[in-house]
Amino acid sequence: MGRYVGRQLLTIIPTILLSVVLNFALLHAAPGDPARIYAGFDTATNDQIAAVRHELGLDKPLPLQFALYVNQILHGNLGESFAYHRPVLPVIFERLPATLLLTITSAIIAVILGALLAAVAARRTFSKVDFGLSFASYTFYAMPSFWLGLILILVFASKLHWFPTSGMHDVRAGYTGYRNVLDVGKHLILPVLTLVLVQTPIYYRITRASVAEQQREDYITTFRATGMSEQRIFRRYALRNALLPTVTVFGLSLGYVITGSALVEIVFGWPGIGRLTLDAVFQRDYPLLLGIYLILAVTVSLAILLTDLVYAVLDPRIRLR
Amino acid sequence: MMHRAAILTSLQRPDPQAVATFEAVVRAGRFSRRDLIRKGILLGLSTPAIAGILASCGGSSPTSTPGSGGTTAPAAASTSPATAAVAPSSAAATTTGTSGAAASTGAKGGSGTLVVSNSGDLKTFNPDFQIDDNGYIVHSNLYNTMVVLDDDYNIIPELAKQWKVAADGLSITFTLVSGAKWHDGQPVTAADCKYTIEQILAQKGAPGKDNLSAIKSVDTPDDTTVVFNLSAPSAPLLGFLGWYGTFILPKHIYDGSDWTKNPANQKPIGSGPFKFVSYKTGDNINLEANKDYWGEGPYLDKVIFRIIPDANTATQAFLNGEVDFVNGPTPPLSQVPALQQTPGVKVDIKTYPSVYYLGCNMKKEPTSKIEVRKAISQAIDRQQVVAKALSGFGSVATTFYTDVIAWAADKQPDAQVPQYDKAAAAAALDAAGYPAKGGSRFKLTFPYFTASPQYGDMAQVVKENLKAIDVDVDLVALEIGAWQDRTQKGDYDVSLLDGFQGPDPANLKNRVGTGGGINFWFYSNPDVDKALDDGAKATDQKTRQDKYYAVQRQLAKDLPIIPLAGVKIPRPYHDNVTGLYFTEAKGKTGLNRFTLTKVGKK
Amino acid sequence: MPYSTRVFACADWKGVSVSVPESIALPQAAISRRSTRLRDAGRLFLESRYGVIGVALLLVVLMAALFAPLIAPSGPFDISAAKFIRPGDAAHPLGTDHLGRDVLSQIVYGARLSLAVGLVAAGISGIVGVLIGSVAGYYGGWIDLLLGRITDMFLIIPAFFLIIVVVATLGSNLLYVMVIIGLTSWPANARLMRSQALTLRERTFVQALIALGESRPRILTRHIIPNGIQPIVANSTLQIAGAILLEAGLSFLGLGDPNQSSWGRLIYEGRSYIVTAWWPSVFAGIAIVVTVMAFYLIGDGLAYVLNPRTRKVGS
Repeated sequence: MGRYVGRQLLTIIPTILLSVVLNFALLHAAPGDPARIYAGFDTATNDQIAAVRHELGLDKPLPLQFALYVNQILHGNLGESFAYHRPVLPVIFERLPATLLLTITSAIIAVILGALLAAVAARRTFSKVDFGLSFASYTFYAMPSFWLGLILILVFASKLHWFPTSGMHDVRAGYTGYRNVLDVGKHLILPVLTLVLVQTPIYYRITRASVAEQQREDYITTFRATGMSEQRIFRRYALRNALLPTVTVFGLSLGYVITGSALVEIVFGWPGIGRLTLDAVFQRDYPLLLGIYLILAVTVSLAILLTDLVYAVLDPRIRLR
Repeated sequence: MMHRAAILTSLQRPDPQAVATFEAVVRAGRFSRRDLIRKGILLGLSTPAIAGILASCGGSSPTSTPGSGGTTAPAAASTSPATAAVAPSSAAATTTGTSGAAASTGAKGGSGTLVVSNSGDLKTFNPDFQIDDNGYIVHSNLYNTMVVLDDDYNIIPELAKQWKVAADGLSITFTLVSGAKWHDGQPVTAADCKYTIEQILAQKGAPGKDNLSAIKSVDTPDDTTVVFNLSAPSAPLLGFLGWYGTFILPKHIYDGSDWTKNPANQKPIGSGPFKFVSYKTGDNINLEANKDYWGEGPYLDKVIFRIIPDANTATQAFLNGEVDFVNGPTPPLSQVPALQQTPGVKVDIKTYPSVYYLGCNMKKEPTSKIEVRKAISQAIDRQQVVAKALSGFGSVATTFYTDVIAWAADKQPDAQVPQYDKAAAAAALDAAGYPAKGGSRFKLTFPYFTASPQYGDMAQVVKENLKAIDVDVDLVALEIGAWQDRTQKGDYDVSLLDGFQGPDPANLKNRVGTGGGINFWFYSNPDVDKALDDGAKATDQKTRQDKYYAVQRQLAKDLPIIPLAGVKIPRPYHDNVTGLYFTEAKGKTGLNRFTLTKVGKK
Repeated sequence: MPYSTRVFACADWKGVSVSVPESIALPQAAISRRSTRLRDAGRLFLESRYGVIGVALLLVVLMAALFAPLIAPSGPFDISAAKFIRPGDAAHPLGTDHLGRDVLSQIVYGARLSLAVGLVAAGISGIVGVLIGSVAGYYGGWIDLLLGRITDMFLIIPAFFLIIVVVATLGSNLLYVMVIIGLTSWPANARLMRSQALTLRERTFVQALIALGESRPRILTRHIIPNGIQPIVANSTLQIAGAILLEAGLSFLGLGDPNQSSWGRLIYEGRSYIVTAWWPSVFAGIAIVVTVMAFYLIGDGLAYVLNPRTRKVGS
């Protein structure tokens, strides 16, 4: 088992390195001169722009810039953000909690809800409940998340005034302590609802399909022949085995918690990493972008690794391969 | 013992008589806030009750000396433009302004929190070493400049309560207010001004540097006097001094360090009406009242800038009461009529000294031909642009320079831009050798940047207008970095731009002067360059006016840029917010300062 | 292992392509009778309720796209009408937007764009994915290892932001959008094809062909790919749906092609005034939902056809 983990880890590292190279090359290849942007669009003279370019270290030859960057990373320094003039890591970690709060909460609710609903529907195949849930799952699965968010804001915040329209805090009130928690919770409801509604169908469909598949397995038929109750068959065997793919997808989706909600963050004005990344793209804030991409690469790779591990634990056949 | 008594009494219900006395004491304003709270506790009032009483009394501030805020910038300032202040030929050659003297002894700060929406994160709290559009309004409340522009772009005093330009125009002497202090308690002196100006001039890439380039050296004969020695008379200098990138920074904090990396750039110390509390990137910037502010005000407890990059989200937050004033991003113009109808909402429509214009690539055919440019100008239905794309918030542009700076805008017929005449446009293109074969004369590539939503709409209208005379337009929406790249390389035919043309027509140099920073059109005319130079050097308004009129006449002949519409910016605020720099406090405080702003009950 | 586990799950833009179980993609012998198979497949498809509904919906969208000039009351960019006309108007059944452009016209012309983006992007993704996957699975060894790393790398790259960088910087030309979406969504297809190739190369008929002296590339192109391609076809419907949603997302950020009518752009522009004039955003969103749903339904229908197990009637 340890060797399996070790092997997997080894393959991840070159992948991450390669992606760093790729990201670096792509960013610098993209048109748009950060120096001009930071010197100030309306008013800069060419001298000012040259000065800024020198300050940002962009006037060095590209391979040298890359070498310097790699050297920096190996020392644990991800560089300084062009826009914020602060080290990249603190800037990222400041915004990370907001995004994680949003995405992890939605992911957990979505997977539980999806699996539960699938279990319900699987027991009542071809019933109205089954079709109703299927129809709902198709509809929400087909919705663009940003559109759904807009509609929710329109109805629940603008017309009904039940929830705030945007942001994470009521800045005017400036709550602290547990009141702050409640305040954040209130602001969290609509964005989480949006993400849950578009994500649940995925888990519903996977669980539903794999439950249906399990139901047809030979071992289930055998159990039935021995006279075991349907309930017990379902709960103890079919459902558990059917959850494997669901767990897999959930695990992998965790790798994308960091940037997976960018559009929703925009619609709801949620101060998370998604918006930070978009701003960084538009401002050509190379160090910040590379830092975010690096963290993303690591997270996704780890998520894939973990999922494979969980799968290997749950399904011994994998391990023995 | 006293403490125990206080605690004991606070557990009981306070005696109504005592409360009434307490309230009367507060209203008389004879104690500082801290004293009042202590006395309140002794009276047995709980902290929230005390806060409540203070809050309900704080807004009126009955103790400020009446009239202290009234003797600022002379009335003349509202009709004559910024440059009048420097003209040595005008009688007294002195502009005296008395900044609201620190005569008020009442409780500073007061009540109420103002929540302002801001389009994005600010980069740093050092406003002078790099351009930071999103930080401008925040810096304006943390720091002071020596002089400042008000909402009508007149120069009014701030740290410098009066100034005098020498007869030869080669030096300006400023007298600073007395009693000004930094947020850490140190006094503001002339040395701080000298330090700041010298740093700006020394810093490559500082946004204020070029604007202040006429300053040769700075002298400080005493703590409250600053003298600028100029290398040549500079009419626009005072205007630039009050514009941006010129906030006075504390020497005792920054001296000896690299001011681009000083930790004060994250935790600023300024001299402005508000102090820094906290900054959560992507979320909000929190300021609180500077109780020891040297001038009148502030009347607010807190100012919170909520960072909302999206115009729609900002407008929605405003409508739902989460934001009091939308500073940025500009609300979508199509929503403004609905905003104006909303009860409790006021929308100030500012005619901004800026003009939307279509820039033409002077190096590439067909736009390099004057006949084509003229035809384009005639093909565009500017009324439609204003009505449809700007939802009526704009004005049809007939000249190159904004009407807002009235003395410099040339209204004579020979400086006018060819207006809408579809038939003439089509005929002109036929004559120029571009017949409409197969329904298309030629194709124009039209990149524009998406930062301003109006651009997309205007581009659509222009495209339809040009289609009507059989010119095909290929629109390319780019974000600003890519747009700059493309236009710099000349990889376009026409594009759209606007921008602040104030505080002085010398600004035109950037747009139409050879090699100007935003002259993306490759326009170069030595006559225009000379006239622009002469205009900047001259010191009397009539000469300057002649020069800038000459520039505009030439522009009308050459048409490198085609003005479309004047810019109007809606500024929505709730009606319980008073004393904004463009409402009651206009002319008394500078742009973006909330010094005199109050938030009443809704 | 019943499912190949490399899934690209990004909640926001639905790049979810859950690969269909390997076990279901049982390739038939090379000497199959294609016509009979197709007829059987067709019959099965009709049995699948969802597939039929999907096809019906798609036909509606297709008709709208094909006959757009006939259905649309005016040109999609015609600004001569008044702005904000409410739906239900005789000349403008779905109302007009803020520039006076007819919403119905923009929606039917927008169908053309969405279908084009979906098909081209999924097509590119399919071709690239099939090529890479089949080569990796068939040849194995270090080729497989290298291609596997490259595939993983593309999975790790934050595709959404990559697309934004490309579109924002090179311009919002529709062609760039289609190509870049295709070039970032091929990993799922590659994985599917790889596992297909792995299974197929062990089959007797392939061994026989090798013994007969067929060259490896010919075996790959003539036998492996055609026989293994079924799950990719099913997955492609998901990819088309994903591409449509992604294009809508890009337009929503203002990066859509301004020369085209796009549903995403309607939502983006309509967002500014959704409180007072809800119809552009709402109708455009409904159009997206209907179209994307159609492709999901068709995809499910295809999966039903391809999966021998689900064909067994449930207990």
